[in-house]
Amino acid sequence: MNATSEQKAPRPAPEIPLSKQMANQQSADLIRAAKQAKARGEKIAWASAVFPQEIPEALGMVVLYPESFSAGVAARKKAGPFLEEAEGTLGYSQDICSYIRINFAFGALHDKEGFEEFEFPMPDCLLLCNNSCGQVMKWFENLSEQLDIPIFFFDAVYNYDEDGIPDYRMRYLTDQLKQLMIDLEAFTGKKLDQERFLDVQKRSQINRELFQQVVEKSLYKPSPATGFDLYNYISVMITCRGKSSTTQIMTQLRDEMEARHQAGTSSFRGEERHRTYWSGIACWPYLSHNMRTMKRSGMNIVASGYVRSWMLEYEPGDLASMARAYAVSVAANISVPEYAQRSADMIREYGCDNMICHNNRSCKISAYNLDCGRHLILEQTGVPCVSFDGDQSDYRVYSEAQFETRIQGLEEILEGKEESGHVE
Amino acid sequence: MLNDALQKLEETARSPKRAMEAYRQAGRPVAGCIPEYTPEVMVHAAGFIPFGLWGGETTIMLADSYIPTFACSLVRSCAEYGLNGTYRGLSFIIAPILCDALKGCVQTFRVAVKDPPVLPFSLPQNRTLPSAAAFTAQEYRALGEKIQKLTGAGISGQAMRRSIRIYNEHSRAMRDFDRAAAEHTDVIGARARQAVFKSAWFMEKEEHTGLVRQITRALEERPACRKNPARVVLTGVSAGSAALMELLEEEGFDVVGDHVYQDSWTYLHPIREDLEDPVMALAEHWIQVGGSCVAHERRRSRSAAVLKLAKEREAGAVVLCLMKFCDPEEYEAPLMLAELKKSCPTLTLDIDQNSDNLEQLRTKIQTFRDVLDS
Repeated sequence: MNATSEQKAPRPAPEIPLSKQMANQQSADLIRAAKQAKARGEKIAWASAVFPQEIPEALGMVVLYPESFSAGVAARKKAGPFLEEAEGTLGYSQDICSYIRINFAFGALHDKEGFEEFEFPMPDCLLLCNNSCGQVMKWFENLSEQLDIPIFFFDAVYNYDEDGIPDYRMRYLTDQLKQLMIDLEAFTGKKLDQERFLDVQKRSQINRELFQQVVEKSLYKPSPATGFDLYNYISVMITCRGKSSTTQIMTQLRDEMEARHQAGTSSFRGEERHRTYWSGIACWPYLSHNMRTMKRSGMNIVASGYVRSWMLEYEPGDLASMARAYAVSVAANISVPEYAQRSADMIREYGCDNMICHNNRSCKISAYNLDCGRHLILEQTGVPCVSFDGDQSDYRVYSEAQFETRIQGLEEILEGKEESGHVE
Repeated sequence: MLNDALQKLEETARSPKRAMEAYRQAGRPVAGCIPEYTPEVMVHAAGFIPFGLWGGETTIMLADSYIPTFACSLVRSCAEYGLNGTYRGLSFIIAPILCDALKGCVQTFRVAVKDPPVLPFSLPQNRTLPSAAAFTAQEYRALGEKIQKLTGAGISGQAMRRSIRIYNEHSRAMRDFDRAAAEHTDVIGARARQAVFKSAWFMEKEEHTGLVRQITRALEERPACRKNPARVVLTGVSAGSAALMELLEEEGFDVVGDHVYQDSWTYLHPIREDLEDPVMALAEHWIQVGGSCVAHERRRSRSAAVLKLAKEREAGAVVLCLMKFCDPEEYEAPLMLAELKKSCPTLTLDIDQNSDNLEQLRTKIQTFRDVLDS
């Protein structure tokens, strides 16, 4: 051991909060359950991110979420070979969603040598809901064709205005849930137990309420967490929001955040000089760069419309109310004035003094909402706003220098050195 | 007569704005219809000239603040025309919600373009469900009510039935022309063929039917004549500009059929006239749509339909006109191309209204021609 290393002992690995350990365990358990179900000859599904999970959950069907899988691949900086395969051999355009490109490539590579570490059992059917965007429909059509497996579809119907959902559209939405029950019963060969279905709905509402409490901990000033933390728990709400393990994780997380607040600490490692509203999905491959850069400017994410997409509030036992929740909760399925209103409300409620917009090349619907809605949000709140170019999982669509410049520009505005407004 | 009618349609296809102004100066109200699957019949029944809004070649200035650069050129140019006032004078615009880009376009009109007002509508995608047709019909009725509220123009059942007859008659005329044109490529080259189809979006259907009938009759009086041995069918949302069609002609290609929404594909199926409720007939028309990239199908039928058409028209190749940044098309393309290529040579051409790189396209077309010849 030399003198230098004596003076500079290696920094201890950051302690992983118990809630995160529990979330990791839940994720591993889900993959294990899928493998076991397949070994038993049971059907498993892949679902789009905000599918009415209550029905397959009540049927005891194991459901995996390939968007979460792609995000995980990107966050671990392992998207490269998948993107190359999708754009090369498979012939997909770089213009389409990178989560989906990763998934198409996974379909082609999952059983090839060198890809053993990516455990994600292949599906027997697809559960599709287009409330998160229109691209998921085309994605699942391709998977269905290639894998020769059926799609079970809940068409959430885009809410193009602010007039509420008319009765005739509600009938169409509710009928689809009824049809899903019939179709999935026939496909799995299992009978849907209505009591179990009600329990899953109740559990989903308990978990929603807990997640809301978690998110609302960021109302504290300073926030006991950075918004990037919450991004790490979204997969819990995506993949397991009808399960009791989620209740335990969210309870633990809420309590950890409250404890931090009581102790006057935060997972945000800097001084929270500015409270940020983040618009859009995380830029997974550059999460740490985003975080470091913002920390230098004292900007902490305390609110994000994205994390609220899984707060599906409805009355258990009321199918129409559940159908409505799946049609209106996701920001991608509502009109721009409605989206802007929700964003402005959060900016005010959470005391944000700035907004950062991820101009996400993959998520076109969020880019449309942002580009159009930003004008309305600024009108309503007057907070300064910056945009940066990025992608949820394509690491090539990002410039560290651009992000840093934008954040510096925003800081100058916030510190009163520049006129307020939008920084391009 | 053939040349006069063709010239009139070519002029209309070339200058939609002039056609719109002519209607307005004649005191005829005009309403914009953003594609695809927009119920023009209802607009017609309400007493307006339905006018297709297909964007156009323009420099994007204002729309950059509302629509990202990675949206398709159709949507970006429509938004630009809305924002810069080109569409002023239209009584209203109706727009379907069929893809994410159309959501962005509709919301841009709602937020930033007050004149003309936009009336969006949704179409169900889970079309095998019995209640999907009822939902579509109700959505159309709601659209009709909005038109009435805005303009005072009601839509009676009688007017709807009459308009459906007129549209079906127009569809028949277009199908007849399509077949006749494929056997008279000495007269109807790719550019003239496209002009006949494109002009239909900018002309009152009764008048268009008459002109197209004249052309078809004149063709049928002539002996069949295939100008070039290289016969192709096209597929896509739009086959792009007249200049692109001219390129195909110059490189010795006959376009003898298409599965292109802007061209003949929209005329494939008539709207039922035997139903008591004409709005339900219109709704069922949507429910029956097949082979479209914006209509979900349990088993996609487009490749088979394109190959069937190529076989019927004795075409030796398929050209995919791929609208740049069109998500539905970009998702379908790899699997569709693989399927098409099993049966016949296929060429992909990028369509971008705002950067028509003709020399690059010419090189691709020439290379394709060389491959076919070898």
